[in-house]
Amino acid sequence: MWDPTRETGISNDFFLRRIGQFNPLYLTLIVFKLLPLTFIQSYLIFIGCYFMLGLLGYFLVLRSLLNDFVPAFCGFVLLLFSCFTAILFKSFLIFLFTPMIWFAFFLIQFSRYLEKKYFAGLVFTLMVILNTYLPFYFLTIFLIFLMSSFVIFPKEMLFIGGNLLDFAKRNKYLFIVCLGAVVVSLLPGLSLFNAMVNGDYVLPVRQMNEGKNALSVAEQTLALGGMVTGSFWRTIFPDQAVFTLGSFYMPFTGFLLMCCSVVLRVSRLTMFLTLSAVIFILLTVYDASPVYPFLYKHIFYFKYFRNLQFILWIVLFPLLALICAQQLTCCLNFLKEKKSRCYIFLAVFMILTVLPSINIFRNAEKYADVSRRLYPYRYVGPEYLVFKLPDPETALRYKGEVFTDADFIGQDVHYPVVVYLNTKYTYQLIKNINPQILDKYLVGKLILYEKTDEMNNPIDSSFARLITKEDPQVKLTAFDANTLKLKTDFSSNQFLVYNDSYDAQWRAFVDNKQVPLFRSNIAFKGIHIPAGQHEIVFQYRRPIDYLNVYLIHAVFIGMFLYLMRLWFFRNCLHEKANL
Amino acid sequence: MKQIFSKSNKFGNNKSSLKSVFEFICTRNAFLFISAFFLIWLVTDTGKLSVGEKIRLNKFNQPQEYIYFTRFLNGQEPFDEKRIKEYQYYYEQALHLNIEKTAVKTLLGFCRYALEDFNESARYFNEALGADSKLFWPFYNLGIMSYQVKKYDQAVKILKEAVGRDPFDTVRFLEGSKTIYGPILQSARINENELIQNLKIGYLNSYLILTASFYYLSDYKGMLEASLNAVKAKVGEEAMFYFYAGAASYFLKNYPEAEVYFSQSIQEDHSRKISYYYLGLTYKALDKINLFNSTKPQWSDLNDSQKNIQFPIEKLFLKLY
Repeated sequence: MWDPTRETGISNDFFLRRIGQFNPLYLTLIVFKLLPLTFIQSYLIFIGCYFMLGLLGYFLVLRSLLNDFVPAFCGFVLLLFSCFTAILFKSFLIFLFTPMIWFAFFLIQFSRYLEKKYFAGLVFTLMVILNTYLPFYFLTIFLIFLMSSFVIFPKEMLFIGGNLLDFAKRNKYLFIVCLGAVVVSLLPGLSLFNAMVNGDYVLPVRQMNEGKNALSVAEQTLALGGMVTGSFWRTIFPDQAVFTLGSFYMPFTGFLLMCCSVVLRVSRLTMFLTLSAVIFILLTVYDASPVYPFLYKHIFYFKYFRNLQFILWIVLFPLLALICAQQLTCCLNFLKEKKSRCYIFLAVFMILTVLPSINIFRNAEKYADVSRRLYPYRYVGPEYLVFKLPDPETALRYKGEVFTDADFIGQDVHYPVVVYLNTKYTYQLIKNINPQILDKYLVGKLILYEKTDEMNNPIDSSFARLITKEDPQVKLTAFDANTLKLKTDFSSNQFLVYNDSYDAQWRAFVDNKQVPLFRSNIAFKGIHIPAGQHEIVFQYRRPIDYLNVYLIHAVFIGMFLYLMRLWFFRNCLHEKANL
Repeated sequence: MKQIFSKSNKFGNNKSSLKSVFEFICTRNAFLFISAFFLIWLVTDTGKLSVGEKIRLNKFNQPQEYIYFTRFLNGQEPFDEKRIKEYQYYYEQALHLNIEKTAVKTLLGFCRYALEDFNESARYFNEALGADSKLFWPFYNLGIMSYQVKKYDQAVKILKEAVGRDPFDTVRFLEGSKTIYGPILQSARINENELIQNLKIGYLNSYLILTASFYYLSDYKGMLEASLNAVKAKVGEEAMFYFYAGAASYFLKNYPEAEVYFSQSIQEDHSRKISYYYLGLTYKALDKINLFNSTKPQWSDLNDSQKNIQFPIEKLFLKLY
């Protein structure tokens, strides 16, 4: 929850929201970890399986929409061999794609059969989605599909709405429990939102304005490097070794199918898919169409997420593959008169689709390399989570480096810093301080100030004494990401500065009694410690916060187990509600 | 294939019917896909799409840093022709690519000014205002340029426009210019409050130049109006603007009004010796000799040049934010 190794200590909530840490499927990582595998190996296996789970969901969606195995399988293959695979593997959006596609599957099935298992699936996937980062991608995609559905299938939608109400009336308790579970899944996101609104954190790279909600983002423009649809036509057949966010590769068989289908009669499903695709394209070209600027201005949540081009990857590719598969359904009608024709067609389709696109997988290592370079995994090894106190020689040198207030504040020089996420105060500090001075200052993890009553200038290191490894008066008894425990034995009252970012959710205890925690030396934590023997504890968050985390986990796991029970162990597997 | 075209059999039986042809065309996928494509093409600004493409293809690279530029703007760096030309080249590229044209023209106006190509500079500022007449800074810069070449009537005309702008339109514009102004503001670490503060100073200077221009044109009514508007606009330096209002009234020989304004100037700032001096002159003109004598100790150490009306605008420079 607190990461003392990132910057000078920062809450991990923002990054945990990206992956949605309450997804029970992540627990499989623990199983992998029990095998003789490293964490990275476990993760790669997991992510591969998770992606394939998403593609399986996509296949099921296609099959349920098209009621035919062959075109559904062809659509699945088209998607697998498009650059969707490569791009998605590089991005955390994979964590959104899989639950979203399963949500679509459960929604389709539930609207048809009104079975509890589909409802439970719907709720579970919704919980997983709401628990990820900002659920606004999903909300936007869902609303666009909903709008298109009302335009193309108005009667059916009203009928489904009525059925849903009937279902809710007949299964009141289930409905209420599920609603409660959905609300619980929203809590982590709301908590993060609240912290960001309070201005405790800053996201300078993406933040619209310092001092405002750190999650708010500026209006995106194409000139700022948004998705470049302009290059779409030139990248239909790009070099598969150099896919970028601007690439738009789909196996040519998909386009062949589209071309062949132009003489076919329009179906409502094709209209629905085309309408949705048009809206998605208009939305994701940012300021090149009036859609995004309008929504940014009038729909509040558009101010809280950016990179809309990701919608193209997680929606437009599946949508295109679906349109192709749907056209194939019509074409196959005449092939089905003879099964042998059908097999020949499938074989030819597979060869033409897979062979020219095989490089996507051959180059997978390259994408992994990019990810490793950009986001190195650093939570292993002897250096991680080690509380390093300096040796006495370093402390002596430190004493010679007299830092004054002027080194820290009030300078007219702004230092170029690239900060993605930080606490408000740390950001203020690092952009106003010479980085070399800060590095020197941070050598001391714990600093003592003796003349606390007389000190006007607490930063002045001439007053300071560094706690070293061999300090007889301070002993480190425990340290983890969220806790620091010390035993002290001072002859006089002291003020201890713990050079880890100050955050209002940290608390300090002396002999189990909570004491005021001060923001010290601009951005760090400090407490008064009385003379004599004492046990000092710095603790991130209250026990109830941890309990809440476990409770939310329990709700997610409970919902998942309920879904599994309905799906695999209940007699009423084919129970259908009375319509 | 028969099944595929089954619906078109009717069309085959009734070839002469245009309606059937139309219906056949409208009910084909081709029509749907072309319509969708056409709709996207119609609604989308393809010029902007090509901008994005060029950026992605690295045909348009932003300058490595803006620190020199922002420091030069603040007068903290000396003029370096080579570096200013680098920025100019970049903004010319941006103009060519249609990126945030208004912002780009404002910056090009500045670069040209720094390179002492004043005609081109004025042209760019005017073009920027042609695109968005709500902006304050291009007006301000044009006003300064006119004032510097002593075209006071032109300065008056432009600065009257400048002070009539809503400052928040400029703030919104600057914050909305993500590609062009964004990196500059980020480099200068300017937040919204500072933008507003800078604008306040800009408005103050505008009123000051406006007042000075009226003075040099000997248009004392205009001078009076400009100074009182400055006080009303609460841009700061009330003592100074009351003094100019008093001076304008004095030159208009409206001594009772001048007395009021000079007194208000002194009330705002007791240390303004020049206000005491002109208040004394006003008393003298009103035959209040005792009062004239009572002001003497306050201004007796002023030399002749200090008794002239002066405008503290020697160090004015163009501003962009």
